[in-house]
Amino acid sequence: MTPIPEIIRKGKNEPQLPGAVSRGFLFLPTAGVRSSPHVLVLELFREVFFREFAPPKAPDQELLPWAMSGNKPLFTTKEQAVLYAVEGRKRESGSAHSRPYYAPAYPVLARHSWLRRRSERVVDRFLFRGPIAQYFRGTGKSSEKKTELEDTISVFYRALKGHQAATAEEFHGKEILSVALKDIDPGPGLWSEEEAKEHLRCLFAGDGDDPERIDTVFRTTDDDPLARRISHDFYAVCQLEKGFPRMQWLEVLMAFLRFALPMWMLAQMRLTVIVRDWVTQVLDGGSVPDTSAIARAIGQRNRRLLHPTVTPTREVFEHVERYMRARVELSILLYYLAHLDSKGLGEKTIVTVGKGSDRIALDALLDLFRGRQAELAKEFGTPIRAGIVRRAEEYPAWKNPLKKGQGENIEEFLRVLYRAREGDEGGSYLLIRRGREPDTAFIVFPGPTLLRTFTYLAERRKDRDLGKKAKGKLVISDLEDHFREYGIEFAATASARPQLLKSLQEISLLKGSPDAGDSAELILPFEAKE
Amino acid sequence: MKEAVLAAIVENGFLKELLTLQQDGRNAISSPSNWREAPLLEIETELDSIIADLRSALLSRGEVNKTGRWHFFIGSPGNGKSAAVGKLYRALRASGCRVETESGEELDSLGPGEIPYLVHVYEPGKKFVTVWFAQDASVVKNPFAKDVDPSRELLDLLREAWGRGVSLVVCTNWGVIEKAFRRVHTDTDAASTGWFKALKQAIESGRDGGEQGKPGNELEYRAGGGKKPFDKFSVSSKTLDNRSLLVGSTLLAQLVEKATAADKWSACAACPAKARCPFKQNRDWLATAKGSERLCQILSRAEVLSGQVIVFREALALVSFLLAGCPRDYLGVSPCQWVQDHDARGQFFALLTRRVYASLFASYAPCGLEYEDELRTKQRDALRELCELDLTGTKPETVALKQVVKAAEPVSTDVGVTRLLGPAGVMRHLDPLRDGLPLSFYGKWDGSTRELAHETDALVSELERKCFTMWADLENRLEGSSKDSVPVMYRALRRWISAFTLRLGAVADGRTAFGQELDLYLRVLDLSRPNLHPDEKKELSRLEQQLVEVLAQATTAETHAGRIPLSETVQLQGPWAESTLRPKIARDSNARNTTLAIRFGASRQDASLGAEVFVWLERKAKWGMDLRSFPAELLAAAADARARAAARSDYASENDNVELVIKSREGARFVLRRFEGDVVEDE
Repeated sequence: MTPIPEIIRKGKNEPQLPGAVSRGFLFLPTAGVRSSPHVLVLELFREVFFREFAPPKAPDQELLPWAMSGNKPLFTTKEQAVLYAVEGRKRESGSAHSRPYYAPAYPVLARHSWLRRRSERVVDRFLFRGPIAQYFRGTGKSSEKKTELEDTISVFYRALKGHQAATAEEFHGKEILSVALKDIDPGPGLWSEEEAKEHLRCLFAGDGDDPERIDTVFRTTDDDPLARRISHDFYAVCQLEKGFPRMQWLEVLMAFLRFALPMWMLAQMRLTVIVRDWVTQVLDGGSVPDTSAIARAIGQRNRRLLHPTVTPTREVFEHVERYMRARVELSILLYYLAHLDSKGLGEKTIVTVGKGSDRIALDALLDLFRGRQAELAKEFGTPIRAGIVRRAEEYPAWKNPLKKGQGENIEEFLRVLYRAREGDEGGSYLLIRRGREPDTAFIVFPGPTLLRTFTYLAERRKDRDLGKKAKGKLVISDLEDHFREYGIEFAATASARPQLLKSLQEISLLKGSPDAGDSAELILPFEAKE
Repeated sequence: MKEAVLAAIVENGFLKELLTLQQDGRNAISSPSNWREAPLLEIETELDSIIADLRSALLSRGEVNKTGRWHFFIGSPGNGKSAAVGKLYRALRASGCRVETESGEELDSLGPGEIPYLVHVYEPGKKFVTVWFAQDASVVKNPFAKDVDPSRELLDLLREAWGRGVSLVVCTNWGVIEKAFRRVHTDTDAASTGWFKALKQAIESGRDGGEQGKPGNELEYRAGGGKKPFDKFSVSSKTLDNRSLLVGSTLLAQLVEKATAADKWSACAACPAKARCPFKQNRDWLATAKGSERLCQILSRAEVLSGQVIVFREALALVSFLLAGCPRDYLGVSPCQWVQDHDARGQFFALLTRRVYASLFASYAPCGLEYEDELRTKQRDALRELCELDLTGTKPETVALKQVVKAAEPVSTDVGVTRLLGPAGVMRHLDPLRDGLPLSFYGKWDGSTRELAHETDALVSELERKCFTMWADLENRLEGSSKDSVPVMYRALRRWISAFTLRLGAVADGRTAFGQELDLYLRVLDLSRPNLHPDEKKELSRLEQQLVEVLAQATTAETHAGRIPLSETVQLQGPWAESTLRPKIARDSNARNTTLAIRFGASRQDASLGAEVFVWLERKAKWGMDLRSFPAELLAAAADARARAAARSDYASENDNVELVIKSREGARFVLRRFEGDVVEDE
């Protein structure tokens, strides 16, 4: 066997990702810290409305109402008032200078602010090119999907711009914050409406030139359940904007972004773990799963990601650790397979199904592994996992997955789910921190705004799936089902249901008696206008 | 001595029957095995008219009736679905129908734990089934089968019943029936079937709270394969959730009346312990109008405070516990034996523990002692020392006290109905000792025990007087002692005495924690019905005004009551907001539950204002409580309801009279005012 360094392209903390992974659906785009959902709104507006995510060579520019350009304030008094109206919690720097986060209520307020040009673009990667692209492209392009795509783009654009947004000429009966901004000149940096829509079309449908060349979409026979859920929910959030006060709508939008993006990421991380497990199973003499089993496992990767608890757990950290270890191990295995295989595996991309000179389907990949079982067993011993782990331990990302390499970035991004130490009591958090590092653990339970948002989304789902007449009452089980589709399993933990009932009662969303169990009726916190 | 007492026992068999209504008792759950006999405490409910209708509508009656019926009872556990079917079963039996399980077993042959999924009804002289009962379609036929799902089995049942062309009665809960509907609603083949239409009708009629129990449109039945009893079917449903037995209802009072009826207690006349029997004394008090009213008043408060209705099963178990005690105490003896034995042995404190006031508020605490282990150990030690001051150890009060302080619990603290009576139960929240009581009350009920022995309130029986006298003797014993630990013993004794006397006084006076506020809440709930008398309207108007003030003050930290918080930093104010979002009591004729519905101005949907929130809001308004001393989650609920109403309103697009007051954490302050459609900055 060739010595390891010649087989594996070593990176700083882990082996460099084999091309078979980095070009395909197993690739997990880099994530980065987003301490507040307010930053996600800024990022969203920069992605949708601005020609440039950030100006070239410019450092990041925080959104602050009092920002100055020389001696002159960047924002007018009315703009400042609107910015202060969407003030978030204070950052947790611990210094006396810690200041709150602000979100732009309308795109025009994002014109002076941006993240670092090279920073991780989580809205682009974990929403636009992630679940939404997966939803519109995963099953191929049909005429229904094309029609739906156009409708979706239109609804997204109108909502983010503001259905009731005022202009300098037309402001009677328009939304109050937009009226305060009606005379602001947005400057030259924004796309026109057609350009912005074309940009979204390119991201969602993969049409046109994509300078980023990131494609994690995988082929499925039916819609991927999680991708469909997130796409439909984002659509429902955008629908709500019509006729709903902007300030309250932004809270719903932030709750959605804060929750959906990390949950998509966690689900995508599972793909690597699943594939690593199949590979080791095959190498240990197990069978190769058939295509339907592969499709089922991929479609169910979002199941039971997190369990609501009233006692702290490390479940979320365990996901990161498991993923990073699986990633390092799979890379090692793929490098060895590529070394043993003369058919150019290194040039191929792993796909879920399909054939081609530049791709290899999962079942074919597993067959390849099985064909090399004897050689790999000789190299790593049996059971194979033990031998792989011996190799993987050499990498900091495997030994210390939360602190080294991509695992650290992932953990930082997941912090957007944490409840802030102050000013987030009524918020849209999912995780409540307990204990100090390194013994930090989390209570997994949705915050009030997230519960309100999901109650609305559960109703929208029923409306979309069943129709107005047949949708019936909105009950606890609908809400639980909705969380389940994202991987939050209330039914699996004994204490979760009573806690959920209590929380809903506290925010006055419980209409039926709590003793009605999963059929207790819920009050709809807000309604979408048709 | 024990043998002698047992030989002379006077037995009231009704108490033993009452015990079967408690947890694990054979009548605690209505099931086919106990349908043959009418329930022990059967009362008339609004279901009776439905049952009378179903009795004829379900049957073909010698092919006279060609329209069968599918009926759905929809509701949570314990609220009377199965009992209703049991009543229907008896009515059909009385009409000569034969009722069997699917495998042909007589229902009488079933054991208490055997609950068949399906029951078949045969009309007199017929070989073929006419009616199916699925008395608990919320469960599954075989719980150990793979991938069991009640909703799937419900669909199978409906399909099969339609195929057989039989009438059907289904008891289930909303979750199962809606899930079943969701499973098939997109199935175009199912959409044209009768069973699907029936399911849809049942859901729609239940959801709209429409004409409950009344049949809807008839569904044509196309028979295939053999002769069928019906040509068509009508569908009806009845929703049983949120049905209070107390608020706007006299059902619980009827249960109490039934359970305290004189004929059921006549056997007690010959009992030597009757004057000291807690159950007989509870019965005598509850049989009075005042006693029954007091109990219903206290339980109504419990119901609204918890936000959950007391379902039939809980109500029956509670009445049973008050009138027959706890089966765990008896261990092979009857309640009467237990009482007479304790009476003969002078163990009056154990008997006192089962008096109505102690049962309601302190059944979780052993014999009225402290609930917390550490405190109880200290209290027991002190009382043990008090026993030892009686060198002979034979004085009656010493004998009775010794039983209380021995390590084992003299009476069980696990009395069932945990949601109400348990250590974390609702009644503990309502315990009068947890709230402030007036000085005059303390003066009367927490003073000299010797004087209390002369108290004439109907709730004070000979049992109480015995205990008061013994407590007075124990206090005297301390007076005469020169031990250093007398203050400790005295404190332990007084704490124990007060646990009984204060609760006794509270029940006699109708006092509980938050009593005034909860009564006000109940009154507003009562006035939420339509068709009020002019005097009631006047009262409602006054209460509504009170509510407006309470809500306005409670939902903002500011003195400016007209401001509505939209977020932590933004408040809505101005004439438009004040008039449009003014809170109003939503008087919904369908609402018959325990939560007050509030409508803010013309907003389209009601917000519920729970009793717990209301209690604290009322106190805040009345006492000028600082918001920082207010339970945060309760404040959030009230503020949330108001902010949600604001969000639902059109404040954002109003052209005039709307102001946003923006106060940042950094200290910046802005006012954006809408004026002729534009937005101007204001001071």
